[in-house]
This record gives sequence, C-alpha cells and structure tokens, in this order.
Amino acid sequence: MYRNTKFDLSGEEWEVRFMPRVIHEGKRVVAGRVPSKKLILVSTRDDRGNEIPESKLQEIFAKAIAPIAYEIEERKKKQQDGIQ
Amino acid sequence: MAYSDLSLKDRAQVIHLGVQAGLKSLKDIQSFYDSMHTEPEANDFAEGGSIHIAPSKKGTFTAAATKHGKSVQAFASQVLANKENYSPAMVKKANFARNAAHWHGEGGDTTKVYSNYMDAIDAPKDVLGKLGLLGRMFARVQQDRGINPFGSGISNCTLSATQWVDPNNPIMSAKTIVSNPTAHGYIPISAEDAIPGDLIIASNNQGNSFHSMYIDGFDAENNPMVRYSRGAGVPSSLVSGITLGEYHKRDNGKHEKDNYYRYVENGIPLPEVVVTPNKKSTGGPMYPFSFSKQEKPLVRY
Repeated sequence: MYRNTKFDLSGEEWEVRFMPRVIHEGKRVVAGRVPSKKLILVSTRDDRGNEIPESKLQEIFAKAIAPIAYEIEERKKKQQDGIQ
Repeated sequence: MAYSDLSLKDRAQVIHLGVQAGLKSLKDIQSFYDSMHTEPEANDFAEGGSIHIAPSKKGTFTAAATKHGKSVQAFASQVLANKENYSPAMVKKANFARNAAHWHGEGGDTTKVYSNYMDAIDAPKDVLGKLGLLGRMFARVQQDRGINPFGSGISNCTLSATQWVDPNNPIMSAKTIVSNPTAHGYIPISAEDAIPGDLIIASNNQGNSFHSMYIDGFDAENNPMVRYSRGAGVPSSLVSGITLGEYHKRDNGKHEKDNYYRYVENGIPLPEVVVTPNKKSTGGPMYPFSFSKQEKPLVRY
C-alpha cells in the first residue's frame, strides 16, 4: 500500500501523493511537482501500466525531492547571504 | 563526508535511504546521515545538549556494527541493551537507528488515491465519418467498456473526465459520474484540497450538473487548469490548458457552482465494478458524438 504523506523539506512541508499516472505537459512522467501546491506526484505504474515496486517508488520519490530540497537550501543560503 | 558536501545524486541516494527508513523530514535524514558518517568528539554530548559533529572525526555506526559482526539493527539492539558499555554518542546513534526502523509503517494516510488522468481526445473526424451512425454508436459503447477503438480515445465532457485506473480495467460508464459521482467511488473534497487528477463537476444553483472536467494542473496563481470536452458535435470540442475561471467565462455563467471530487479506492471495490454502457447514447435518437479536428495525441505509456 502506498502512502500519501507530508514531507518536511528544509522547513517547507510538501505533500506527496502516489497516483497511477502522472502527466506533465501532455507527457507521462514518473514524478512531478506542483510548486504552487507544494505537491509532489509520484506515478505508481510504469509506462506499460504495471505496478512499480515500492522500493523503486522510494527511489523515484527521492530523486524527485532531492532537487527540490537542494533548491530550497540554495534559496535559504542566498537569503542568508543577502542579510549578511 | 557531511550531507551538505554531497552531490545532488548522492543526496538523492541518502534521501532514498531515509525514506526507506520511514523518515519524513529532510532534517532528520540529514541528521541521521551525518550522525552515521561522522563521529562526535567524546565531550560534545553534554546532558540534553545538541549534537555537534567534529568534521575531523570520521566513522560510522554501520562500520561499528560491521566491526562487531552485526547488522545495524542488531548492533543497535546490543548497544541499547548495554548502554553502560558504550559512549553516549553511540547510544544516541543506536536510538536513531532503532527509531528510524520503527517509524516505517506508522502514521500517514493509507488511502490509495487515483487520478483522472485520461488521455481522451476526440477521435479523428475522417475515421468517424466512415463509420456511420451505427459504427459510431458501437465505438462509443466500446469506449464505455474501456476498449479504445481508435487508439486515441473519444471524448465528450463526461468521457474526458472518466478515468481509467487501469487501462485494461475500466471502472464505469462515463455518464454515471456526472449525475452521481459518490456512487462510483468519488468523494467530495474542498477546492483547497484539490490536486491534479481530481474531478470538477460544474452545476447550477438548483443542483443540476452540467459539465465534468478534471484538473490537469495549476497556474502560477494557483488556479486549477482544467481539461474537458464540450462534446455533442461541437467542432474542436476538447478543451485543455485553460483555467477554471476561463471555463466559466466561456460558459457565460451557466454553471454557477464547482463541485470537487476525488476518486478513492475505498469508495468502490474495483474487482466488483460492472461497466455499463451508456444507455442513452446507444438508444437515443441522436448519438451525442463530437466531431472535431484531430489533436496531437498525448503520449500514452
């Protein structure tokens, strides 16, 4: 059973939802994000419609959130540099 | 190497491990990683104090476990059972390892949420024209049964909103969603909770439902972007990439209320769903088919 949950990314809470299909600009993707909603979408099925194993889902999820976390950290660093 | 020094690729791997362990906060994952990959100085753990990592001290809890010939969890158990034999730092790491393992499986919403992502587009006009009325009716029934006779789908407003949870297992006739979504696995949700894939059914103030569409994104101002079809023989009936507000403008206020729904597995036991053809479309005098110019098909799997 996949777990829809919230994840704290450097102080920003993002919601994670697992869905059978995630479409971005008309194309099927394994994961996507909706920044305005602080939402990460992870596809639970591959391009043949087969369920993606949970271990693989975790990997996809990690790859989806790593750049977001990185961007948040970089943004915070810049803000701090600006203050200093 | 501390977490902050890792490449983005390595961070993803660390996050993966953290997620596997059930950690739900990047801060926890970072702390966990740093505590496992750096050794604090002996005096840095005052009672109740915070962890200070001395970069010069390298070592890992995993390495310590390996040295003792045990797995991380077995070593954590050993440390926690004999705290007096280990440094406070080691005990703290053991606690972390134990807690991280236990967090997995706790909390969280376990509802499996399905989306309405449906690649429905209007069938090519030239193909439909050759089918004749009976052929189109047949195609529509096939579509209702989840068999896609054109490989690209047919759409009217309800069919566009119909979801195929599994392309090989259609769950319902499109027509039934707009009139009674809750009987078919949809639950009402608030506009604030809506996310891509959720369904919007527009109605008037008398409660008559008119149009169903699904959300395929949000614009920069957080307005839902919707996808729907006007259906019923209107050229270029499939509409996408417009905001919900624009939809209302185009419909001149005919639809006064937006009702939001989400399909959830709990609402309906999928194996027991019987797909029923749309009786109106097969038995009515006018087949409500939409002819439109061919759109570029969406990438499908």
